[in-house]
Amino acid sequence: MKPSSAYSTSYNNNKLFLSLFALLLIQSIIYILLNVQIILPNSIKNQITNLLFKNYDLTSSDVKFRFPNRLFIERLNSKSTDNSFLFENLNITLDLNFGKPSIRQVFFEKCFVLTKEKNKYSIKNFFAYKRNSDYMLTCNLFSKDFEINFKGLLNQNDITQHKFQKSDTEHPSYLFNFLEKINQYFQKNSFQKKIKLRTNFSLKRGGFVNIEQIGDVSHLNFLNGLSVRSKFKNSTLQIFNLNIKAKDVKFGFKNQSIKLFDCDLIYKNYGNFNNSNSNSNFDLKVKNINLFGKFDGNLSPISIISEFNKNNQQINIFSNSNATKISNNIIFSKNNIDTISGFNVLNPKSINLAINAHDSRYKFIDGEKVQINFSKLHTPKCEQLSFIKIKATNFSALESPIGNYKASGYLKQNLELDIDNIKCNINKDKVTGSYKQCWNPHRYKFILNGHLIPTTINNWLDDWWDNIWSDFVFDNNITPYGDFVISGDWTKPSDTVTYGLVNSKNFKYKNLSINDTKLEITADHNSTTFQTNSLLHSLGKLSGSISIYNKRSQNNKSIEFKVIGSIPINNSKKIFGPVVESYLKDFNLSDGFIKAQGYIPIKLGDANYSNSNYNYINIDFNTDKNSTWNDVKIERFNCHLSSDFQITKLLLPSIKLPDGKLTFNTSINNDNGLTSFNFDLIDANIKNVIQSLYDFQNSKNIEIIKTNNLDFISNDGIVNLKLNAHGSINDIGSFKGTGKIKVVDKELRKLDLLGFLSKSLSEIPIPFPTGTLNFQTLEGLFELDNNEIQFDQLILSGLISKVENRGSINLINGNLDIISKIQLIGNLPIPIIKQFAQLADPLSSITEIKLTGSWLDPKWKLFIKPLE
Amino acid sequence: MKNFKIILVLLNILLFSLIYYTLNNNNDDLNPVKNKITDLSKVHKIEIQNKSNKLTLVKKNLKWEISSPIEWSVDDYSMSYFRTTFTHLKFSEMFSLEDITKRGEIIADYGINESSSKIVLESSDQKTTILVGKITRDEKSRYCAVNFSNNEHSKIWRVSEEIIKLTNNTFLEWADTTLIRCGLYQIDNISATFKSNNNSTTTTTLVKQKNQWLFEEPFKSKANNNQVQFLINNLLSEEILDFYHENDNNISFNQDENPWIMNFAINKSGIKHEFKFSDSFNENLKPFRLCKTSYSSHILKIKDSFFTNFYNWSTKLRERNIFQINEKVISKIKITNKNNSFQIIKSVDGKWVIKDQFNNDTPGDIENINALIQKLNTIEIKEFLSFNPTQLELKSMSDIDNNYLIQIINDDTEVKTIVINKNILNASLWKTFILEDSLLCLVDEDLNEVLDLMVYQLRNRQILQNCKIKDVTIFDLESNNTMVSLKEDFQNSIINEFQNFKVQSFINNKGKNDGTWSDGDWVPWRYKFKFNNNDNIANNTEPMILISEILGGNKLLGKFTDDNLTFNASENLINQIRLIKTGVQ
Repeated sequence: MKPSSAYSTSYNNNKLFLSLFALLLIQSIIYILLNVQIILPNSIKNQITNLLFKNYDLTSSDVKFRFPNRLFIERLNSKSTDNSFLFENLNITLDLNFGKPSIRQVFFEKCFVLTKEKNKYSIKNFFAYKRNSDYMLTCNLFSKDFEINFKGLLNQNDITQHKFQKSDTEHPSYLFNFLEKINQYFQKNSFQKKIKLRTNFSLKRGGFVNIEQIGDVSHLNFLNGLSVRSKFKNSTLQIFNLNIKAKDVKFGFKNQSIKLFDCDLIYKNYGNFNNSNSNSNFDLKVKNINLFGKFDGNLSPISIISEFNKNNQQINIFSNSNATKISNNIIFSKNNIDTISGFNVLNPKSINLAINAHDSRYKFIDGEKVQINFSKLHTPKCEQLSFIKIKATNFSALESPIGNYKASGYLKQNLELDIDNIKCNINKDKVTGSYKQCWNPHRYKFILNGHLIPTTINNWLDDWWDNIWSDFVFDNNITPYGDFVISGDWTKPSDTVTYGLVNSKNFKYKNLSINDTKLEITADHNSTTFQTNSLLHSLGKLSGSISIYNKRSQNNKSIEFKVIGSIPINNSKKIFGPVVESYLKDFNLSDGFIKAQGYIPIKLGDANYSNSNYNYINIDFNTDKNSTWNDVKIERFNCHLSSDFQITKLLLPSIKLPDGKLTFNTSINNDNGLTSFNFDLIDANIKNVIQSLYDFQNSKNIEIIKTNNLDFISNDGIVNLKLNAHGSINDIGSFKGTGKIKVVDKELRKLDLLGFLSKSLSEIPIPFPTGTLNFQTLEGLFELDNNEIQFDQLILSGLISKVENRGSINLINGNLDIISKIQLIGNLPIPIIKQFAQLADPLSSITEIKLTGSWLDPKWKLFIKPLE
Repeated sequence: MKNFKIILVLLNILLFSLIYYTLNNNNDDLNPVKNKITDLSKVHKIEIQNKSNKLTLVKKNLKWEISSPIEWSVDDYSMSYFRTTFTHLKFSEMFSLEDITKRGEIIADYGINESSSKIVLESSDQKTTILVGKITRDEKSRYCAVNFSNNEHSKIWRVSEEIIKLTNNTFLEWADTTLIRCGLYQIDNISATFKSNNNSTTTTTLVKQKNQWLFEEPFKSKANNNQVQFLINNLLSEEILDFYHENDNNISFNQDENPWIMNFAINKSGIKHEFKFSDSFNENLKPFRLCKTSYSSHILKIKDSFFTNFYNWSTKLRERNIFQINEKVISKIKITNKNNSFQIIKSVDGKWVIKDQFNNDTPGDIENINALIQKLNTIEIKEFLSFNPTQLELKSMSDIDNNYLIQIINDDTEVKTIVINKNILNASLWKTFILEDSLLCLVDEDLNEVLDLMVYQLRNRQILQNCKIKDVTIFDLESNNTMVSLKEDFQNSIINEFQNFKVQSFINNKGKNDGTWSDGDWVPWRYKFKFNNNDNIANNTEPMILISEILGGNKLLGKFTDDNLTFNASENLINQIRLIKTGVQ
């Protein structure tokens, strides 16, 4: 070996060794760097996070760097005023060019987003990598209501230059706000099943975004079979073509759901929408429309086609089916509607549409044909837009009777309707009228006049119309003539006001047969008033008004009435409501003269005593007709009833009975039932009084007297009875008072009323001389106290004898506690003879009869007084 | 030393491998092959083949089209569905063919054979073939073989089950089935030419001029825009039922034996779209027609009912409004019948004058005359009876007593004359002859209120037109007393009301001096209004009107003292009388 070469070899060996060692060292360092994550100092960390998310308040775990270009952030939390988000396992690969570093690849496992509306989103498996100047992006976005899988291409230049350079879109919150809008839409359209979408996009100097719905068609989805194609013009990302197709879309609002089937929406925009060369088309086609809720059924297919450009701004609405032939053209000028023209031919028989109203389901329209034409006005005036002509043949709306309708009028520029020429023939009824409709607010005004049974159109109008007529029964052969103005606001049913005049013959109102009247009717949300100056009925004429107030807030109804004239009581008991009916129900009276006014609750107990202006009755009534009260015969009477629903006063100063007269005045405190009355029966025929009592007990189904055979009672007996008493009407036994009775009858003993006495006397084993016990008069004062009639000297007297009674009768159980003193000849009216008679009638001095037991079965006991 | 070097070399190699592996592993998220399969951005041709169909799509000028089995436009939604679904397919590599062989399996075990459904994607630098195999055991995916043109060794992959939906679509599902490729507003003219048995043709052509559709042939007339748009929309909505290649043996249609019976043409921005339709055929009791379009040489199958769109254009699409009177250009309206004849003439200052048959001039009421014009404009033809009717056809209108004539003359001397024959038997239908169009037709309108118009109904409703009044005296005819006398100086506003007093409508000219008949009731005059000014008092020519009591709340009748013209008073007068009555009381 040559030294030089040996040296050289040794040198080279060393050199190789060193090189290999150095390489190994470098490789080791590289390997270590590749596998070791270095925690970056805070200053660098802040710079990096600020680079990623400007204007955000960031907190993060350590930012780790791994050679050569990767950053790892385990948790990155960011907050702004609007949103906050949290990244987990963020992994960024940078392009460390000599110029500005850029992101080559981003991956994060999860990102949770919380918006200011407290909605949560999560983005999972986000992965974006750079390919040339584009980013290929994949991620899944989840929310409570939807899930979207993204995959596509974004051009880096487009993003940086045109999107995020704009100040309003600089924030990542721009994206979240956009998502929030989508989410809000999804939330509004409440649906049960999560919608899953998949998008594919390529946005590079324009491009496309396609969206497809994943999963099978389900009725739980508000949307099925969604397919979206959108094309964007250059890097401004302005849509120039948008096609949206869905198998079905369900949406709704209050009381109404709508489901559209096979929807196809096409939007095309050529040119810049803001400049004069703009040209856009918008087409919407729906093959079937189902309605659920207030409206129920199917609507025909519809297509809406529009064009907006410099020369033409128009919309066309078409429908062609068995049920519809529709073609309408709306032309705009300077963004305002210029003209509307078209035809709308409906075949109601083929239209399957019902409306649920008034708790019933009605077929919306039926019949042969409806035609609504809009004609262009050749010289429009007064903001008139087009002329409307409506013709309906053998047509029925809301199951009203079939009729023929013609109408014409104008559609105004603000789309207000002014139909001033309506002619309608329903059966033999003929009605003309007009209709005006504004839209802001939704005010309307119907004027209808002609011959029509008002209930014919019940289904057209709301409950308030039904309520007006619910108590009327019209004669189908005599159609009333009506003249009505109905106005209101569709959105505020409470604003509806109806004013009308009805001229009708032979109809009934709450059983009251009316021969002829002109009735003025006013109805609004709070009240319905009927007023007439002349209401002819079979028994006379009446005038007045009745207002029925509907206090919805208090959930009660009141009636205010003013009536004067002849009133047929039997037929009109119901017209003032149940309160008055309860007073009148015991009467059977053909008619009388009434002057009355009042404000009363319809239901008893609804009265508001705090304000007497709204609870009062004043009735003056008189009649000379025979009548009955609980079958008690009355020949004529007059009365005054007044009540403020605390104190009711009934004054009957003169009730003419078949024989005799009765005066009855009473005052009742409705709060506590305290009642005072005075009852004065003058010269009444006993037989009639007992008959009345009998009739009364029959009508009330109670028992006071047993027999119905009154033949034994003489026809000549007279009774006078006066009673002043007071007590609680709730406790008959509480009544206290004083009275006087005088009964004069030749055959008084036959009266069942005094049967207990007669019977007892007849059974006494004392041989009374014949005729001794024939009494003609019963007279005396009495006191009413706690169910007992007490008397000290109730004298039963005959021609020569008399019986002095003292004691009591219990009105509840009929128990008697009476001591009768018999004076056989004590009733001789001659003073000296009377003294003699007492001497000659020792029996009277020593004998008293004690009556006990019950009214119907008295017991007697003879007491012998020791001689004085 | 030597061993040490060897160790160093080996360690270097080991470290290099580790570094290489680590670097490669750093990009493990990037799977270039997986992404390459689903990347359709550079694909310009797609072939989809299943057991029964083979379809080829090609991209021409950035737009996808079907190139086989026949050339046709692709349905954009189908293409969009394919792109989106395909891009999202999840491919995961399983094993190579070598691996399969080593496992003692063959590729057919994975359901992949020559008859497998196939998707071939061609881009400029690559051709990718995906052969779809059977479903995997978990039933969530399918096996598939993916071959790349530049790589002979194909591999078995696992792919999302949805791939099967992409291969199963038929040509009809891929094809754009729109028959007519036009927008509603792009069409400038349409024409339909029917061939009769003797080979003569009848053509109906409509053209759009300034957004108004007009009949060009066989006659020139206005068409109804809404009807034409309705028809066009129906035509544009039509979809193709099926497609046949022009040489398809399945169709028993011979152009020589079964000539096209109708030719329909649309002109869209100077480009003509033509459609030829055959007679009706039947297939399983379902009638259909064949159609050949200018879009291709293929024959298309369409619904038979579509053809009904082409019938009766002359009557169906014709404008049915007889008059289209423009108040700006009208000069005169003439209404004549056996009892009455008058002309409504527009004067230079725009006011209307009514000239009766005795040449008396009466000032016209502008509102009522406008309403009459509007009413005339709404008269529609219900049925076309005859174009150029014969004398025989016109004979039914020879009863002059029942004929009415309405003539409209415009400033430019254009005249429109219609003769209307009142049919006594059927009052709702009026036989009408439009003279200038030589058209006999039926009108279903209530024309009585137009034809029976009396001059007074169109008379100016302002009763004190040229007379400036100073005071108004109201007499109560019942008590024969002066009720109130209103002076201009003191009751200026009320005098003004009377000065502008306008009747609501004129009812008849049958008023009497003491009252009038109204709806069967005799209504006596209650008040007399005398309108005075300095001049007319002197010559005793002050206008006077007689007024009834207010009837039924809002009705008031009146009459002029110097003639028998009776009128309904306006609401204003009713209110004034109420006010005056209240003041007197």
